[in-house]
Amino acid sequence: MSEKKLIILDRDGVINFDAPEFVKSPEEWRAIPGSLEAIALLKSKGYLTAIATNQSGVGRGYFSKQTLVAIHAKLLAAVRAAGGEIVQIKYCPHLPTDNCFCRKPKPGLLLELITELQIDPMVDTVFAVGDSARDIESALAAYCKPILVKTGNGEKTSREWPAGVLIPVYADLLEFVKTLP
Amino acid sequence: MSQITEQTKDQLKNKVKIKTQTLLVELGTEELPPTQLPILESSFKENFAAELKNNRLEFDRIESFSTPRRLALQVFSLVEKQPDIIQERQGPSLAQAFAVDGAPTTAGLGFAKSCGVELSQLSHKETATGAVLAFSSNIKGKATEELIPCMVQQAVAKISMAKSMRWGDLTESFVRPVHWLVVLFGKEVIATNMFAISAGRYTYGHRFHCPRQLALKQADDYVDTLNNIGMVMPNSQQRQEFIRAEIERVARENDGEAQISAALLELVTGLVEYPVVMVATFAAEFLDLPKEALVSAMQQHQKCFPIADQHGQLLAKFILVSNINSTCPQTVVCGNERVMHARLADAEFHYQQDKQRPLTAYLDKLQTVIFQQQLGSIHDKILRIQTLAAAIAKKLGAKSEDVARAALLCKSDLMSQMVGEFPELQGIMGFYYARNDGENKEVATAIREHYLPRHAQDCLPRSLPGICVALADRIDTLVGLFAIGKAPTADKDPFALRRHALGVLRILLEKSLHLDLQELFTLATESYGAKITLAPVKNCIEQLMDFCFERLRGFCADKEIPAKTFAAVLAKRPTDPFDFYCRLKAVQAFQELPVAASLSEANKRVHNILAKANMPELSNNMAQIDPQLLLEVAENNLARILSAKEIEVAPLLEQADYTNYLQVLATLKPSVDDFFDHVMVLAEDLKLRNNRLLLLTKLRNLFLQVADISLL
Amino acid sequence: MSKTAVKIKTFQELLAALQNFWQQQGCVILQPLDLEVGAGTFHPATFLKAIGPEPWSCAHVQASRRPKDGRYGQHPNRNQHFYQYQVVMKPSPPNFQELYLKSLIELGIDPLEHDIRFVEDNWEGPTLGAWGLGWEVWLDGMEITQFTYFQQVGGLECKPVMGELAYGVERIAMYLQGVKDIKDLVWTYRQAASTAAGKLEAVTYGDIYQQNEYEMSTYNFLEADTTLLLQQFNAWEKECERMLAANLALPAYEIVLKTSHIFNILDARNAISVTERQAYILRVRKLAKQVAVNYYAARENLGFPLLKKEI
Repeated sequence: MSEKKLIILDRDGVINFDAPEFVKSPEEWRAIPGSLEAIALLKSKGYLTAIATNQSGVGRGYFSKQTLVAIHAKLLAAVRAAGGEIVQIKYCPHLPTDNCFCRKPKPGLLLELITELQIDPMVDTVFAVGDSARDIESALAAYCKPILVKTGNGEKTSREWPAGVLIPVYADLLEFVKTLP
Repeated sequence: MSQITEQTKDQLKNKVKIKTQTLLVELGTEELPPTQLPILESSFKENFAAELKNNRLEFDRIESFSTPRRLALQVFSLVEKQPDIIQERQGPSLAQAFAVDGAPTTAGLGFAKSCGVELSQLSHKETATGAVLAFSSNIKGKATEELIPCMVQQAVAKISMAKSMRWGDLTESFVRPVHWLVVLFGKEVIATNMFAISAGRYTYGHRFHCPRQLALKQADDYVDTLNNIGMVMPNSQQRQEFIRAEIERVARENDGEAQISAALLELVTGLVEYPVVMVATFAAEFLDLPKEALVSAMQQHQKCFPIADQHGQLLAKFILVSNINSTCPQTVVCGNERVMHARLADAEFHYQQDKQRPLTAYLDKLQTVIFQQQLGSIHDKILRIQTLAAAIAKKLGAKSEDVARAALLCKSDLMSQMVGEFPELQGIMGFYYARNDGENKEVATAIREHYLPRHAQDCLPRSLPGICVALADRIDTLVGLFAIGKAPTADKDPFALRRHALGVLRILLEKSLHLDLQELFTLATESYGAKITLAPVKNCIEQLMDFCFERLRGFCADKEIPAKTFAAVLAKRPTDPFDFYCRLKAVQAFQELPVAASLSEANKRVHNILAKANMPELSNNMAQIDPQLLLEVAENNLARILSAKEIEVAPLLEQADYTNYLQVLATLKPSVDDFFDHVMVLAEDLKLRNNRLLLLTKLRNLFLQVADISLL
Repeated sequence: MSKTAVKIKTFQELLAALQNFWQQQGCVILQPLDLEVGAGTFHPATFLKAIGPEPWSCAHVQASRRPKDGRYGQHPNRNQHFYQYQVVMKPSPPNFQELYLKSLIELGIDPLEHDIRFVEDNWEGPTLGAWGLGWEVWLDGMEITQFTYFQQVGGLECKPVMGELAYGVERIAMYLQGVKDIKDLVWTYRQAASTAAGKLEAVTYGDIYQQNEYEMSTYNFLEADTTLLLQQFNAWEKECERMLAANLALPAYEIVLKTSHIFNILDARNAISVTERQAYILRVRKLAKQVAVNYYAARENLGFPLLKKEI
């Protein structure tokens, strides 16, 4: 048992404010209050933090891959300034019609992360935090424990998610991270 | 940006009594892990309390229950609906909401839209930053029963579980498979779904005594129904107390006193729904087995309780806690006796076999057991422990023959059959076998004690040889692993080095023993010889010393010694932990003095001045202060007083009487203050300046002999 | 022992009773695997069938070998060769515990007389890359069955989950017969040839297995040719890899079992040092995991045939 602790975060709606027309530039990237603090708290609690995000904006031509890299550079700088760390960012640039394996709700991004980080979600607990049904479904498909936050789409998702399957819901990322040992 | 504030109307004005009901939530499961039950129970309760709070639902209290097959909560006097609230939202300022000509702006219109009303329906509110748009709405409280399903689901979903599992073809996971759900608010079932199960009003009784469905008319019937009909004691606290009382009663009836380990009692409580306590016997011959082996067999392996007589001697009896009011109790007793007999017979066999070989006979075999791949065998370790323990013995005044013998034999019992079967008896069996071999009591005791402390709250070795071997073993392990680069990381410590370091510190501090760890670490590296690469050795000792200081920091924090005090002493890096501790005490005493703050400030000031002037703070070759250059009265005074104090405190330092040392130096305050008030240190004249800097260096040096109080 | 007349008087009857009971629950009654294995879990009907989505229920006796447990036939209840009664049901039925308890009643164990407890125990099979959560079932303080819900097998997630029961049948039989030494366990009664008709004589466990225990213990601990075994381990390992490359998961799996048993004998022979042990376990596990992946792919190619049947 490796005893590694991993959390995979969705990006838009969890870490930063989402935009109806995609976050197209670093200027449009704004952290949700508390999310950077949460990521720093994760580090101090010994968790590895990674990001898995759908970014079809690239495939649609709304922004280039370089722009995405610049957006992520801003994200990483902000995270580091707050005392946190992101070990990996995985994104899916494809269109929904491309039928790839990485676009959530497919588990491809998560599976890549856990393979690269050499973690077995069956053995070690891996949390996957998101704000939409797609995030929950990809988490379940990759045997990670789904966590829903009410920021971004989360409020809406929590109302619409079928009541049968238990998904813990928290106000935001910080509230969830505070409950971790 | 809009703000939302809420007030509870009812709280303000109405004394109308809101109707309340009891809510019952029960999760029926397959047998839950007994050691986790208390956490599952409390986590469930806390989660639900949080849900109720988030939903502003008032209640009187929550009672929680847990048995191997159920987790339950009863919420008493839970209100039937949420309070009505007035929700006030604040929007943009009037200046932002209206243009100069009074026409509404997009900001204003947007806010009105978000409140769902026309702009004209909004009110204005004065705030500290000016007038803003505001909107008050009456939000009617929802009925509690609407909110219950979601609250129950969230409370269950957030239960902290060490490990969860799936079963059948369900997607969801839980600690163990879930089979029934009761959610009753008063008399009504509240439709809730989890784990593909719908909530109902039916619970189940004891697995064997009352396996059928039991209908609950109302939530309040829960405890009585289970206790009286279901043959289940759902309240874990009550069940535990009942079991304890029963164990004590049965022990008394058998002329003895039960040895009740708290951890075992908790475990056993988590294994039964209807406890029936019984006594069983084993063959008296087995009483000549070591007491610890008997207790281990009973507690660890069979989960039973030993009974001792008034002298502390074990009786040939044991107490078991069953989960059945058997139609033939003798069956249960005989069955348990049979298993106990087999286990004790095994132990007896191993013990007799082991006693035929002296501990020395195992030494060769220890050469085949690896301690660590690069660091060699356990046999190699023993030889190193002997060398190190001998050095420690010399310093502590322990009898060297006993220490050497104990160190040689301390790991032999690891090869015995008994320790093979009962690994928890390592050291203890060594004690018995040593006595059996005719080794003297001190050697045997040292073998037994060298593993202490086994954990943070454990006791320490009491004998001096025990202490020597305990220290040597741990230091050897620490040095070896650090030297080959296997120091622990943030989340991995497979060799338990933190525990070992803490053990060393506890022994030295709690027994007030002076030993220089750095010296011992160096000695230990010499014993390793070629096994460790020499290049990083110096670094590794420093790294290890830092590691020990970190443990010491934690130890001091637990004793509520302030971080700054610790930092002040750490600056000196005293590598004798007890000396470190004495300095800490001295600094603490110093900090009580009214002059402490100002002297600390003065030290800070001096430190800064010297740093800027690039002067070394602590130096053995102190140039002499030139009395001719002491032109000002204040500096002359200071110089005189410093010289006098220097002489006065010298013997105190020698005796390591740090407390009095600092108390004496405390009297320097007026002179120091005077100096800074009247003397310009950085004079134009270089000679004057250097002389003054030298004076300050001397001052600082005096304090630094104990600690760096500039860090306070 | 108990006040009710003992229903099951021989070891033979015990096995038959279990067989009969599980047949009635709809389990396919298989025959034991004809290879050396350490437990019923290693039978392909458990290990392989736990992989993938196809449902499956079966039960069978399984001879199990644990070379390290040999005691030359001198120990009252420890042998290097013994039997387990293996039951697997996938997906695990909601009343799996109740079925198990019913089977005990069938054996004449009255749960209102005996103290039956489910004591937390989580099983792990490192060579198979498998683990599950569950219990030891205790009967009046004695462990008689391992009850497990598999979570992962061959490194693959179990979906749906397979529930497994492994009964320690000699123990149960000794308890029911009130016998203290396994040698005295009555396997069956038969007509004594020499005496008058009607007189039955007992054929005991010792009659059947005592010599085996002695000779096999001697082999495992003292005689086995370790050089040969090491060579065989390496050779079989290569052969397994070859079969995996050829997409023959079933022969590959049988080879995994061979390597696992060879490892067990080497271990009993003390031919493997503490540091090497982990390396060997990982080698076997690597093969087992690859078998699991290949087997899954093979079943997938076939379209998971058992999904259509209601087994």
